[in-house]
Amino acid sequence: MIAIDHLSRPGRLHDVSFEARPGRVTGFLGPNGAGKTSTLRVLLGLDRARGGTALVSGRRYAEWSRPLTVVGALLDGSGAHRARSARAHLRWMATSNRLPRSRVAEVLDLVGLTDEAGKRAGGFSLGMSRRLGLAAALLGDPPVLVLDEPVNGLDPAGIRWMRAFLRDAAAEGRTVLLSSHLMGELSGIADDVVIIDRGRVVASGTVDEVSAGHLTLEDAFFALTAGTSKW
Amino acid sequence: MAENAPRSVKAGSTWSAGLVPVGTVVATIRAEVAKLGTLPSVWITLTLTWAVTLLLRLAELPGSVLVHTQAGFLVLGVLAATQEHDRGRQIHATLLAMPRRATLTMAKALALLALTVPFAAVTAATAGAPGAAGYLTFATLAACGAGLILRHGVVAAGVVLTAYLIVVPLVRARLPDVAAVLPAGPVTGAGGENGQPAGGEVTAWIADVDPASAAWALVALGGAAMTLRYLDT
Amino acid sequence: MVSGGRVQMVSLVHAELRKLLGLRTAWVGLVLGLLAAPVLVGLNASATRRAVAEGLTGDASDLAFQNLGIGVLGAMILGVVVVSSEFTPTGDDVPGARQLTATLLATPRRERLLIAKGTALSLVVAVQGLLTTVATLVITRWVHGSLIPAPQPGRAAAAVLYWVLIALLAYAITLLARNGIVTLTVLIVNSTVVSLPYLLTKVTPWAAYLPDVVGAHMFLRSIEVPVEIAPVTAGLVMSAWVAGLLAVAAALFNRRDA
Repeated sequence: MIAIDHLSRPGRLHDVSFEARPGRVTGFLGPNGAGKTSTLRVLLGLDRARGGTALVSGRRYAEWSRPLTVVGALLDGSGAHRARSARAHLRWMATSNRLPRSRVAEVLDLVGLTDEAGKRAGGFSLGMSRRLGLAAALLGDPPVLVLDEPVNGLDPAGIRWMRAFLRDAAAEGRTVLLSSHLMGELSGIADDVVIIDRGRVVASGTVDEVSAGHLTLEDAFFALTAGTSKW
Repeated sequence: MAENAPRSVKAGSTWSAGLVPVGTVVATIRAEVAKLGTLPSVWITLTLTWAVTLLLRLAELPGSVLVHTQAGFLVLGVLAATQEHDRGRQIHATLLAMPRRATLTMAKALALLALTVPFAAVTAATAGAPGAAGYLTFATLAACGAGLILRHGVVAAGVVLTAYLIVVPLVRARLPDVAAVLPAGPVTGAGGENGQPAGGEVTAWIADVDPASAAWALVALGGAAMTLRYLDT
Repeated sequence: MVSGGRVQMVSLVHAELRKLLGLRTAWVGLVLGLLAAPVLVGLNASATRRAVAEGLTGDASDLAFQNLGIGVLGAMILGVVVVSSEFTPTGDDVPGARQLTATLLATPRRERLLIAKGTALSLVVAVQGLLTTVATLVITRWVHGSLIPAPQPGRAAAAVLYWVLIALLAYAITLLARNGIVTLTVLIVNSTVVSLPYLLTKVTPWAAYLPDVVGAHMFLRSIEVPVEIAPVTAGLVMSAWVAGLLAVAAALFNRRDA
């Protein structure tokens, strides 16, 4: 369960409120620069908000003593030092949250990086890097997943895999929040949608509710964020 | 003029190593100057180095203050080289724009030289040791070479600063036999402890540069060219 | 809750040790620190013998310890790397991506993170300092024999403490500057043969109380500065500097966006 409540950050976010519920995939949609990443970074304790709260399972992220067991997050890049191997990166993360070492091999296998686990993260392709980031997110087997543009850099097979993975995660009762600037990417997998534009939430609800009155979710998106994208 | 065009291209190619037209070399140097000049960290380094030199000079410290503030020149050289490998790997864009790596290394050195010579002259004069400008310039170029080889700002700064500020003075003092192949440091020339040139200003400039300083710069830049040539980026 | 917090701190320190020792640059610092001082004993051997014979040394017992003041460079590098590695770009062509993001996702309480990092660093440098000090003193004894008085254990312990404090000083400065080059420049300029703070004491005696200069009084007896500083005072002054800088760095680190 994720609860964002009246979040504000000067120049970036204005009174952003929404929820992401267990067992559902929530799509966080908006043009580039609308405030998606900013919101997620505040939620994860990386950046600070001026006002409002962002709670995961009822607490601020920083209040969890073993956060990796509560939230799995996938942000830009893998977060691995370029000189470190994928396995070494996951090992220190596991150690810091007192996770069993066996989890490292499990998540490497899950994302299909077992054969590359000994290679330096700096030499990874964008797709491999994303998979390493996902492996880190899954390390603590968390009930909540937060993913920023998860399919960026993935090949078609990877995108297909990611969609199935996220659907399964929700079916298991996990809360899944993913941001995207591509509508098509969300329409197949999201149950709920939150649309943000210039730091304000302009619509939220189930996919059907938000796209009501429009032909598709894509049409709804452009109607709601009209004229803000320079394309 | 039109009939002269092919000839000038040919003349250009004989002018530069590796058959790269002079126009290309000049454009590459100009691009490198622009890259250096638009880096805030370069300007901060220049300003701080000069300001600290002035302050220490005003404080009337014994000896040449350049022994310490040469660190700013070494950092300048390292920054000029390693900026390419910071955020977002600018080196890829650079190599797409200028795939000739030997030419690129030369252009980088010349661009840095253009920035360093006046700065070294001003700082050395501020320190009261104008004769040290040549040494400072070569130290900067050597640091740039080391930065291009090591590709990592912190590592290169650690290596270069340790070498020039600690290892070289120590070894020079302890092992006089090898002193001739080590840079002499900013205290140079026959003109006393402040490194003031003994003879005429301009000739002393050249005379004051010990061959080892120049050799180190050339070896470092040569190594950088080889690194860029033979290693993947 | 208290014991839970303790268990957690142990695993955080463990994770930070793993991170630090998994870096090549950290090993450069480790090996450099281990080798520099013993090598200097050999390099300085003839000059030391001459100095003792001509009675040039203020306190012959210092000769065993002097070389440790330069080997400390290795500890300094470790202090820089422990922070700068967090800010190094990850290498996948994503602007702004760095290890710090993963670190803060795993350990969002920043003060705990800083304590764990500082503890891991102190442990590594304490072992490094101890090994180097013992090696240096043994080699000095072997090279010079009875020419130099036998070293006192208290001074050896003070030398190890000096190494740890220098590493923490580098840690604090790098956290403040968010850039390892700044720290290396400042600290290496201060470790030159005729160090800058030493020259500054000719201008103002207060320069003798700069953190890295004052600390040397803990294990060296004949430092030519215009003020006399007792070893314990020196240790306290240096510790206060390090604690103060760490506090400022931690406060800023807590406030800044990652």
